[in-house]
Amino acid sequence: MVMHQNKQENPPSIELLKSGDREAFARLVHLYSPMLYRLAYRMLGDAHEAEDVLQETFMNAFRHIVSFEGRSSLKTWLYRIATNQALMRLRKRKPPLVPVEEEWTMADGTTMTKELQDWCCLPEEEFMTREVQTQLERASAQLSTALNAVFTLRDLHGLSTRETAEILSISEPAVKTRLLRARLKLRELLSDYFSERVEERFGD
Amino acid sequence: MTDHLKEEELLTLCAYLDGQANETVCQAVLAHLEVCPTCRALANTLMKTISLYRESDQDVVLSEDARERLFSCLALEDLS
Repeated sequence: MVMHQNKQENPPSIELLKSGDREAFARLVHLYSPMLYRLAYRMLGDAHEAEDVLQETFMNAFRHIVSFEGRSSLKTWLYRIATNQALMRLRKRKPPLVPVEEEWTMADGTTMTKELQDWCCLPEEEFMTREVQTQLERASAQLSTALNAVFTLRDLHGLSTRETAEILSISEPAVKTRLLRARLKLRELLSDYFSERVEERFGD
Repeated sequence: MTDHLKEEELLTLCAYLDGQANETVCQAVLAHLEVCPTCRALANTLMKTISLYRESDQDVVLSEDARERLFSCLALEDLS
């Protein structure tokens, strides 16, 4: 409910923010904190760290608003700060990173040679369980930071390819390729679980 | 197109699903989906995967306590 209200609200003017207007800052925080929290939570998988990132993002934004040149929108700028804060934290963790290129399972046709189970036909209640939530979290935790960031920004936050490229400082074709790979990887990881559900329901 | 969809075609399919490419551009890919159950299953489950994540993401909400802590650390508690 709150999010719908926020979506309709206009951001405060840059001039007011630059002049140090506290009400304008408060409006900015009200408007963007829910989405930036979701972003940080999805990237880090931890509520406490997501909260820290949120605080760091706005403190950083307040400190640097004077030098904001308006080359990107205020929203993209905040997303960039939050994403960088989250990425910095991820870099400090032990890196079990798989290079982006190695995650590609379609190029050699290996996953396409077998018959795929079309599990999207499962009854809706099969998708509403706590177990499914666990599976979703487990699958996204297996994505590399690079793929997870693109998937989160594009598919979950609905940012455009251009905005995502700007936030992550990568090219637009790289955004498209990473998004496809992230989607395929998640689909593949979830397929093991849902294919079993299909077998249970419709198998003999 | 007899083989299954490859990366280039899957990128086209994604652009179509995302509303960033029109049907003419995707004609070959869409025609392939009509006749290939494997690629159709891939497209269907790909879309379902995205929608499951979108729904689940809506459950991630900044708590009232966390919001208050945020305003307080920014010295904006009087405007929270």
